[in-house]
Amino acid sequence: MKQSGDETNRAGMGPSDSGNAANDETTGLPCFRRWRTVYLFVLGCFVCYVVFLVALKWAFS
Amino acid sequence: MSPLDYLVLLGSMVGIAAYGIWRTRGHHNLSTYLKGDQTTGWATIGLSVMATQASAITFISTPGQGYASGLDFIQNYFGMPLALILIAAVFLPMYRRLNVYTAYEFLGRRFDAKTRLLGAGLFLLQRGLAAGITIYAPAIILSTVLGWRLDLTIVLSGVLVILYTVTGGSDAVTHTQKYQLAVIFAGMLTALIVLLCRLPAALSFPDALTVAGGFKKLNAVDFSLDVKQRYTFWSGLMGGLFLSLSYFGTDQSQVQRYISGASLRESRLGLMFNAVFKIPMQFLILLLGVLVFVFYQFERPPVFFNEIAWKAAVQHDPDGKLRSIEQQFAVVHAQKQRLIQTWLNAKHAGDAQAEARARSEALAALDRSESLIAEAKKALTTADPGAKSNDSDYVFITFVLDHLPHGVIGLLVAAFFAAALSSKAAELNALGSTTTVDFYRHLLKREASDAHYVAASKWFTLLWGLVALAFALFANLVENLIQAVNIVGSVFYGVVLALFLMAFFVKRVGGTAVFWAALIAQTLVFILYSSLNISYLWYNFIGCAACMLFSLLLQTVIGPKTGPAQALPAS
Repeated sequence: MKQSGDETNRAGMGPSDSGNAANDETTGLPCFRRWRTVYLFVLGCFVCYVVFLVALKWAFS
Repeated sequence: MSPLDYLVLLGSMVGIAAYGIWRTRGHHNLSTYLKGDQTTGWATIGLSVMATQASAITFISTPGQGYASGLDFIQNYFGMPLALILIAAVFLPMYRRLNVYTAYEFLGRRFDAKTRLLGAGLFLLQRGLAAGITIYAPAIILSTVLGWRLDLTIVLSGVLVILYTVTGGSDAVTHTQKYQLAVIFAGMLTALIVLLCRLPAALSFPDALTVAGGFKKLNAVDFSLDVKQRYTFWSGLMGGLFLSLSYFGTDQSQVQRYISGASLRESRLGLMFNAVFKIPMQFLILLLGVLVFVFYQFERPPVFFNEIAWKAAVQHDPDGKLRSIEQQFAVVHAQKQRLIQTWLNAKHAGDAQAEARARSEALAALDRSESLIAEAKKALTTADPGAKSNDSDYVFITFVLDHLPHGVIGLLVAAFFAAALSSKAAELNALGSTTTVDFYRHLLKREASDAHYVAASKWFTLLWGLVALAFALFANLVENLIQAVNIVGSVFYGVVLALFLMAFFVKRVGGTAVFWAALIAQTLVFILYSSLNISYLWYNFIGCAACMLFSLLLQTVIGPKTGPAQALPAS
């Protein structure tokens, strides 16, 4: 019972991303041009949150 | 609530729903109905993903959790940033390249039709069962506290959400969520500001944090390896990663939110928005609860926050035990308040010895106070065996009703309803889409016009809405039901996640192996669930690990796969 190959296109599933592939590679952000940098920034934020929470406990315990 | 509160509540709720219907008028094809008009920007996606996850219980219960246990619940979200990065980098590009409506279509493309139906079926089963709870759980709390009729509260909020979800589809859900979240943020921020203003004039913000920290309410991070501890850094990181991958990566109610972006870039940024801001948001909600705790150190709280239940129990308490506890509680509270003042005075005077002594005495007074609360809960259930002894869900709403000005009360109640509607709408939208795309169009009516599928999708969304309403109306064991729904979710989530992890990361395994492995793993989970006595959260891990292992073993037994059901685009 395999799904036919064109099933997803048949009902008008909207535009494919292929035309936007080049745009998708860039983040459009001024300081973070590559997605890897964005992901590192997110992880950096997480580390900062943990440090902040540990410091909060330490400062007021 | 005053007429002003009702005006704020009804104006915001009906106004947002009407906007959703107006904004999506003229959406007639399946793509725009299920995925929006493909112009949604990252901010709207980010807010929509956030609103879908944050139900009314998040905003009613989480401050209560902060009040009772402090900030430690924040660790539950530690795995989320990494999970969202993985979804943005691996899951999302594949969903968009395949241009799917539902996550389960991806399983069909990667494996085969039977695996797709299995994934979609498991989603409908668990989400369908949970559907009533997102309406019922906040309705029971709000109707109890506000004295509204429960059935009317359920029906009115249910009909409103069904109306705009059925009419406008995915776009209506996304755009109403944006404004609903604005109401929620406005309400919570106003509550925080009013709360800070209502703290004693002599109590500075650092003093408030000193009191909270001294009473161990700021212990947010616990690096211990003790598996018996409910929340630690490690369990939050690992468990949170696992749960967030399942929820954000494979649950259609979330997938539908972020695949509607104008481009991969917009969808990714929407997810990264959540990866960055979810932890601070939860921190602020928990901090609100902690500050309510500090507030009630200077203002006597009720012994039991579900005051309706307490008053009912007092009437069935002929020997006056509950009243006696109330009087003792008032005395201990007054002592504690004096000791806290002594402690803060010593701190300001720089007398470390006196500060330590007063703090230690205040902690002892807090222990006495908590012992009285425990005694009160025991006496309450003795006086009224049907009463629920957990009152933490009532802490924040009691504070709101007793201490916030009119208008702001209406805004906060609107915020709770906005949260209930936003998560409910995403659920109904996902249930309707999955039923239409993965079952109706795939199995029953493969050749039909777009208008036919849109109509079918509307009918299925309406049907799921009515199922949710019926479930909510006839549910009367809320605590047990919430737990039952969580158990059902945990029992199925692991296997569903495993299907997706195998699809994304293990190319050599085919549909037949993974399908039978999923069935065997699910059976194993059922057997273990009925025979073991472990926390139900473990079944997420067991189901996932078992399904992945069985898939690899079965693929080895049946030999190399001949190829995927359909060639996937290169990643």
